[in-house]
Amino acid sequence: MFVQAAQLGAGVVLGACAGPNTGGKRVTVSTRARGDIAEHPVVENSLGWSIEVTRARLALDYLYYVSGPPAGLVRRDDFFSSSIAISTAHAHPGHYDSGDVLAELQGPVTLDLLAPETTLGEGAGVTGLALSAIVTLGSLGGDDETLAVVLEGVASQGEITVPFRASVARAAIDNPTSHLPEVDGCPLDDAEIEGDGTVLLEVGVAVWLDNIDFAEVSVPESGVAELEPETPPHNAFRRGIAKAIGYQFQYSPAS
Amino acid sequence: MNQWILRLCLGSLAGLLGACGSNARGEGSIEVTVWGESYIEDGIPADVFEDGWSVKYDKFLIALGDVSVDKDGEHGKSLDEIALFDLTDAGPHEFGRIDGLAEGSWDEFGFSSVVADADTERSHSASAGDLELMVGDGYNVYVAGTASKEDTEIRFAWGFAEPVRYASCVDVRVGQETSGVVVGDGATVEAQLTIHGDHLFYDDLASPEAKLRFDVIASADADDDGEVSLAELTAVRLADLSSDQGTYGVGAFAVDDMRAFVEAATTSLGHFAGEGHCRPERP
Repeated sequence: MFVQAAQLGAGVVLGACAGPNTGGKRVTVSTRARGDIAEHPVVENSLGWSIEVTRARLALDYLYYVSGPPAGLVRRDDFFSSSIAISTAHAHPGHYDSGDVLAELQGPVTLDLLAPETTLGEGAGVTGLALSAIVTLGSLGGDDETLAVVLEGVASQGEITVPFRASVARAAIDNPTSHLPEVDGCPLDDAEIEGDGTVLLEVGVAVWLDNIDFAEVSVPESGVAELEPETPPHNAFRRGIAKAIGYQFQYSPAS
Repeated sequence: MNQWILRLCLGSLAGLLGACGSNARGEGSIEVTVWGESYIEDGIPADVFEDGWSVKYDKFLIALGDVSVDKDGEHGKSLDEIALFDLTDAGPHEFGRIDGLAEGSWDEFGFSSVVADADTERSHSASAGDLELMVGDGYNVYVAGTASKEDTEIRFAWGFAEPVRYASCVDVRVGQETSGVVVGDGATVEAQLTIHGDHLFYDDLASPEAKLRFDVIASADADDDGEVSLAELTAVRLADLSSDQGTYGVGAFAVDDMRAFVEAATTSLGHFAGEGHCRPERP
């Protein structure tokens, strides 16, 4: 992780000196974050479960804002609305290419996804058009040293109630390209960086929970079920955390 | 490959000679062709798959159109036809010509895979029945074929309605990236819409490290009739797959089952001049 982080960090500096699509102007980009459940901590998932989230924590090591389009179909407007000369990465179709790093946030930080929107910090950047983001997961520390995500709550469907705890180890998120605990190709909207600005990250806890079938979870007599690794409910949770659409970034220039 | 380089060099040479011989700006043409390469025409061999399967297509229908060239952010010219091709027929297939282009670089080249409709024309490769199928069911892509592994054969016949624009195509044939096409005075340069039939079987929608696999698709044959339908693929949740079955990463696609996974994979079929890249966009 640290090798790649250093390389990406160097990319920002290099872009500031020479990158033709960055314009060479240094900027400061601050990052704020919130969970999509912060105001209403109940998720209705696609398998008919209503899930009340009582605890949700996410550890981040780095965030990178990059020039490559998201790892999916892009919107035509993302390109044609830009006034900045576009020199985006051209990946083999179906293969994500991050392109140049235009800005970053260095952690570690831990997000309480039930808390109100919080400022994570400021990072260095350069001008240019950022189209996607890379999320590098961190460690929650303490007793949860190996974990990147912990979530607790109660799932219910009709008469059935499943109190549960779900966690994902940092090592369980293995990016198939970098083999780092990162989610790349996350959508980043309106990031035509021409000066200082702020990126808002909204973490989609609803995406994480959307495909968990709690009927497949065994509830012990103690009352709280742990989603066990290598079971379909845990796989669904882990896959949700690895989905790029679970991290929506929005840039806005400083006023 | 060598033939490609020769054509490119001749085209570029013609452009340079034209530029040197006169101060007046000349004109040239683009000949648009379509090709599915050997993976679609002959099959995808077992040594390309991670899990020992091979695939032979019987049909690979795709409706293509909206071929356009632009420069400096301004619209240039386009090929108005929308045509249906069966790429199992030996290619490259002629699509059309764009004439009267000012010599020089046309750096924005793109094309679309569109849902076939009543205005869709039929190339020599596609039959009247093919066109009727595509228009009647509203497909932009239809594939049918057989996957084989040892004594097992699995058939598939899948129609898709996933229109996509392949924009900002880049030619990578000569070891460097060239955006769009370069037109020489009095020359005709070939612009090939290359369709990669192996992408349907990638086990990741975003990673360059994606592998070709068929085990998961084969295991979807719930009624054990030797054919995997799209409905059967819908029943395969990605959450139920173990890590040794493939990554099945979805990038930024909202995909949770194998049908949606293969549908999303159809949006990366389009390439330019062999291995050249284009940017898939929602039309």
